[in-house]
Amino acid sequence: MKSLVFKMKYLSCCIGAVGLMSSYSVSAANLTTLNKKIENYKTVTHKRLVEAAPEDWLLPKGNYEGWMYSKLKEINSKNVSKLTPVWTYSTNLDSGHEAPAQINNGVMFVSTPYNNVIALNAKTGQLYWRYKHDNPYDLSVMHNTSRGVALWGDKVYVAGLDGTLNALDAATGERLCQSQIGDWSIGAYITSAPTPVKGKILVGPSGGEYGVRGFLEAMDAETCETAWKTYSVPGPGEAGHETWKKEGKRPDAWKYGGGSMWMPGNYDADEDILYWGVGNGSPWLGDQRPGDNLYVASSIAMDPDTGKIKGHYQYHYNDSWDWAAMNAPMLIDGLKDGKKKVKGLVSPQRNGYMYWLERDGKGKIEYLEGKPFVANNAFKSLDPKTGRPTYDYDHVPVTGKRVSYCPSLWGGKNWPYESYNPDTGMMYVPANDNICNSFKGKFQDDVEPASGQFWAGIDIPDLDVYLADQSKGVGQMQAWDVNKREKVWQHDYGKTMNWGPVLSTAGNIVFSAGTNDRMLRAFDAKTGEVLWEFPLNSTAIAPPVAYEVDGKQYIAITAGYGVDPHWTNGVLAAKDKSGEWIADVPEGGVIWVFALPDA
Amino acid sequence: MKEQNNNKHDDIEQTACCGCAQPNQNKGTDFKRRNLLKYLALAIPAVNYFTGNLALAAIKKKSPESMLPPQVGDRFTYFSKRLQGPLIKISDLIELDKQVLVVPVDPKTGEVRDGSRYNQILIQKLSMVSLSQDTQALSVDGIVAYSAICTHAGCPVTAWVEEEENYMCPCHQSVFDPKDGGGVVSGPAPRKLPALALTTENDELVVAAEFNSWIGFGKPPR
Repeated sequence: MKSLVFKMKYLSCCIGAVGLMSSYSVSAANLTTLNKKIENYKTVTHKRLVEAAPEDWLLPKGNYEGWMYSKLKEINSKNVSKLTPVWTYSTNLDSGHEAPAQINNGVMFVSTPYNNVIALNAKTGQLYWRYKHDNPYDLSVMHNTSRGVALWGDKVYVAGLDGTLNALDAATGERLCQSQIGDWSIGAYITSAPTPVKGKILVGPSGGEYGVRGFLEAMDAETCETAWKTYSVPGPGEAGHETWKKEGKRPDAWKYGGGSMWMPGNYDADEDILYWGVGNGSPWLGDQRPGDNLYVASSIAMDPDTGKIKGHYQYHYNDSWDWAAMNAPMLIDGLKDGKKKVKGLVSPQRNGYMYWLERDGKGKIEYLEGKPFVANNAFKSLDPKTGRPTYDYDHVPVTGKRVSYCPSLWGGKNWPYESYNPDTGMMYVPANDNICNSFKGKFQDDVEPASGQFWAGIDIPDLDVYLADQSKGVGQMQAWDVNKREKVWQHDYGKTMNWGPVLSTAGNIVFSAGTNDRMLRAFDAKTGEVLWEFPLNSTAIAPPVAYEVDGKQYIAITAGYGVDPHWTNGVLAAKDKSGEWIADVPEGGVIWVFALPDA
Repeated sequence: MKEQNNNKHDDIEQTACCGCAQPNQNKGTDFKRRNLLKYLALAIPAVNYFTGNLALAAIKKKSPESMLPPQVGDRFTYFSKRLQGPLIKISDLIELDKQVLVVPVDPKTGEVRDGSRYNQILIQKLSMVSLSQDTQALSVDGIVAYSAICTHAGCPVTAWVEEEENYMCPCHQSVFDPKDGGGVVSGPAPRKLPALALTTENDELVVAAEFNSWIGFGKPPR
């Protein structure tokens, strides 16, 4: 006993010492090019984030509810045909640009691949400053993108691909402090936009293809010290650990079981509860980690002060398809059974099903209904009370056997944000149907999990991606009535995937890009009619946003094709025999800003 | 689920890996952190064992020698921690088996040069007659060695396309031909994989020369 006590004391001492090192101040002036200091920067407060004033776009999804919606309506379905570019700004980088422009009182912040942050005058496009993150020289990551920044107080927070979370002076771009969140060398790099909540900055790393155990970490916004950290896969003694059965060749699968929390979450400010998405299992093959595998492929409710998990809903158990549930569900109060209004959660999931859930205000999440929005051949049905799927095991990937399934591993909808418009009562979903894949599961023992090597349990050359029906296209925009739970309209993009996050506005418009023809489109939100389209320099896979400066409304989107959208487009174009699939989509990041001509 | 202090050790490994690999302005801070690491090196694996973080359990201090690129005369051992130790011999390799991920070893000190990710190397035994003339000149007994670091975005090129006898990067599917000097067959990679000339001594594979090109992606180092 004495020995154990001694050991624990020793460990505690060490752990404490390590904790002291988790954040540090740095002198990083040479990382930032300062063109012009931002004067009178408007402090971002909890109140401002909750209120989400329409002239700003402070959060990556516009508001804490995750709606991707703007109340602005100067640009509307009657005049959008006159929309025209007013300024552009080259990021001077290629690859996938996936960050929204984020606007605070006329100042725009855009993060880029390899973690530059560019601060611009949102009205003129003139540079204030540019921060270039000092990623390690031998950095390697699967996705070199960045999905946005967090704005809090007088600082801008950006995560690095090297697993750091960095606090910048909003006025000058100078880095003030940073925290090490993930270890990129094992595969725990960060692409997510951090989320600011009540003085903490929350972010989680990627790693679901590398055998990394997922987690979300909260950093104190002032000191860059760790406030809390919560693993998405419960350890011994924690609720849910029993869903990782100690069976088979890997009885300790929970240690490297994936569940990355690699996208920003949503927040119920009234009830003070976070809602976050949890990614796929690692490796992809569920038979290598028996059990339901909580909280993989789930949405979880968390206490923002402590990180404690208060509730969860798992969309499908023992994930075997790479159908990550990384996007947090939108917070929408809607009708239950067509009558009673309840606090709800709505989420179009990568598994191809749309989910309506109920939140009780204390963290408990209950199933209301699920409906497929694209073809899914792996689920026979959903239990009407719980939503738990019944599987068709001919389409559940396993080790040692080639299995095909639809939708593909990229899902019926990947990370690009859907939008909810309270004016139309509709949800707008960037969907991909008619795309499937097959592979033979592999027990990968030539390298260890969490060693920085691809560890998904498949050989990439063995992955076959194909269209279920060669005559049909893939990418779609779907509009669903949230209360009726029915699809209202659908636009088919044809021979392209759709990787475009969606913005809807009070002007009865839905904006989205993401297709291989480089178009940014404006749809009539009620009817789906295409009202306007404009060819960008490259395909935009970043969220479009709306903001206002000096009483004038602008629409901003960053074009820049890359990462998975680029690769999947190449694969599908190479297989296409119709001649309709555009193979050559140029790269190159450009921030585009549109407005109506002055009267 | 809340994990307070016992998770802070994540930062240790990050420092151990990135502090040394990040020649930036944080030298003072990193120096202090590395010193502290020395004293924690024994305790941390135990902590990680309890918390289930395998990668952290494998942590070790990295010396400057471990970060040197492959030196002439270096041997090789496996990258896999489970297999690491034995020096790789010509007789260990079977023709047309999948490429093996290895790291260099200083034969005098036994130091494994795995301190930089840029030291990850692919070796493979191919049919001598299938090799181009230039590739034959770099190989020994049909065995070739290339940098594992993809010239597109830096991922390890660990997938094997058996039918075409090519390498594929799992990140963005660049394909390289090991029979032809690591040249690009398809995909976004802009240039071939750097090759390492080999020789042999007592059946052990030996580095005969430096890489024939710079390691990494993007712009060449200045």
